[in-house]
Amino acid sequence: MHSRSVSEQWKDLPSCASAPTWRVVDGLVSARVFYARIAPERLRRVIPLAPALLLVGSLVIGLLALGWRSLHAYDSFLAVQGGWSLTQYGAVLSDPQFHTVLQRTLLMAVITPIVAVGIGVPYAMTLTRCKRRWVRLLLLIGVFVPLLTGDITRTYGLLVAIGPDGPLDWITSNVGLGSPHLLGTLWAVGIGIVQIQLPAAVVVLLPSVLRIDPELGSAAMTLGASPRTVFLRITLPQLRTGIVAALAACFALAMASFADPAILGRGLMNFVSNFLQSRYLTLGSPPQGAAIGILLLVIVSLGTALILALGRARRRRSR
Amino acid sequence: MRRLRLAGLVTGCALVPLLVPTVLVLTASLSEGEVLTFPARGFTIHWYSAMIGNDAIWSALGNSLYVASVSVAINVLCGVPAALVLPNVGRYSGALFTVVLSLGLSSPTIVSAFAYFDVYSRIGIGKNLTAVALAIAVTSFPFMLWTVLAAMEDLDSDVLPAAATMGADPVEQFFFVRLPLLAPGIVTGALVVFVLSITDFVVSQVLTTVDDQTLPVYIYSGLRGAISPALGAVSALFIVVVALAFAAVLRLGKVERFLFRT
Repeated sequence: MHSRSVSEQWKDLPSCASAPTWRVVDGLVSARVFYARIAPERLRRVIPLAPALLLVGSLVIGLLALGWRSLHAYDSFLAVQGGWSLTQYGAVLSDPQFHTVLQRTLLMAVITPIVAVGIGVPYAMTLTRCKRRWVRLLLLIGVFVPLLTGDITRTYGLLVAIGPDGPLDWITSNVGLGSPHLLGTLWAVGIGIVQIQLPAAVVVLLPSVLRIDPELGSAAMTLGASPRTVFLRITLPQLRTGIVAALAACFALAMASFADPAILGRGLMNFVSNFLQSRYLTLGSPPQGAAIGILLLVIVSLGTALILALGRARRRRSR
Repeated sequence: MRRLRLAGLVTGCALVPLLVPTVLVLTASLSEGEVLTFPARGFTIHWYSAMIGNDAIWSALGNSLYVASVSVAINVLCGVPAALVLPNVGRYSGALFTVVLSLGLSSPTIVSAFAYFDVYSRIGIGKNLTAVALAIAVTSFPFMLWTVLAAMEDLDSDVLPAAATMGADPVEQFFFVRLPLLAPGIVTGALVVFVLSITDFVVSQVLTTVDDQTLPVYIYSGLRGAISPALGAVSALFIVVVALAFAAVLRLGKVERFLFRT
């Protein structure tokens, strides 16, 4: 008796259950119940990944197509694709031009990560230890502006800065050193690559810099260690994982750099990426370009894996 | 103490090459003369008025905006559902999926660009900006995924059970509890992807032609000759877009939380 009166009272209360929004929500709820009935639990857990896997799958298909093309002979005069063969890889690997380009790229991919991490470690430490918020903001902006303004704006800025009649020229000629003529040399390309590597290095290093235990450093100081010893034997070992990961990321970035050699190198200092493009498009041999692409992919993957493995091996031995 | 001062010194020196070129772009765009010199001669807004009157720039900007918007849409549609379930698929398969889904970043950009070029030329898609946007979306996808995953980590794990006890259906839990809490992370990811896509150069210079080029490719075609201040005005446009996006992201407060997570 009592419960019926309550439910009758509820019926009289104003309700928003018939509002369009709730109608939509009710519809979605019944759709979900229906979906839960027809789809097994395991499938339901993986299905939201489907769009992302499709997206990446399109790249996998592209890479497979590239690999398939690289395994064919090609007549660049008639522009006709021939049968299956490994001639493209043989031709690329015995091409002296490719040797020069690969050597140059590997050299820069070894030097620039070391420079970038060398700057990145103090940068990340300052970023985490500074107390004023505006300093931290300035450092964050400094690291992200080159990354986010994109290759073109970044390299244009560097062109203006180190190009003929730029500020660097002005400073050096006023000091009496003469103009440095950086454009078109590996120095200019290196500066550009380090600039794009720094944000990556800092972002990768930050988690391990934040995990540094300040007590350990203080303990070593109490035991009479000099600041240099503390840095080399206490701080750096704690950063090892971060440094190895940062080196790997920077290596991959340097190997893949395209805009810096093209713009700051003035086309005189081609890297593997530029070489690939000129072979594929300008010289009109798509299978050879494809072979260079697959080689580049393999070199980057192997190099990154090697750096990570070496870092892990060193750590195990030192324990 | 001495060590910290040394670190500060290195950082200060690093800031100069990081920030000065960007500032120079802005000053260069205001200087007179056909070729850039330093110190700048005179002050003019001629290059900006020339830019506004140039139809090629406007159509290139339109192409860039279209590509970036499509790329953001693809990233949100694929990234948010993936990030929602990734923490629940188990540790090993979760790590495996994360590695697979980051392929767009781990594969060299130029190789990805030519991979799409190869496929598009095989199936006969030429001059299609949506196809260009798909290729760019793949290369920027990891940034979207990581940002939303970081936002998921911040989520209080008791909130969803609390909603469930009060009778919320999973659908309602998603729309009224999870989505509002994840919104700052999703917006941050979308802004980062937008900026990365609108400034993309490597992929679009392979996949576009003179007729449908994006703004970075347009600027590049002018970079090969003498360095003209006219390009500074166009580049300044990018800096403004990036500055706005950066200000929005900092306001959401997610970047600092993401970077300084322990």
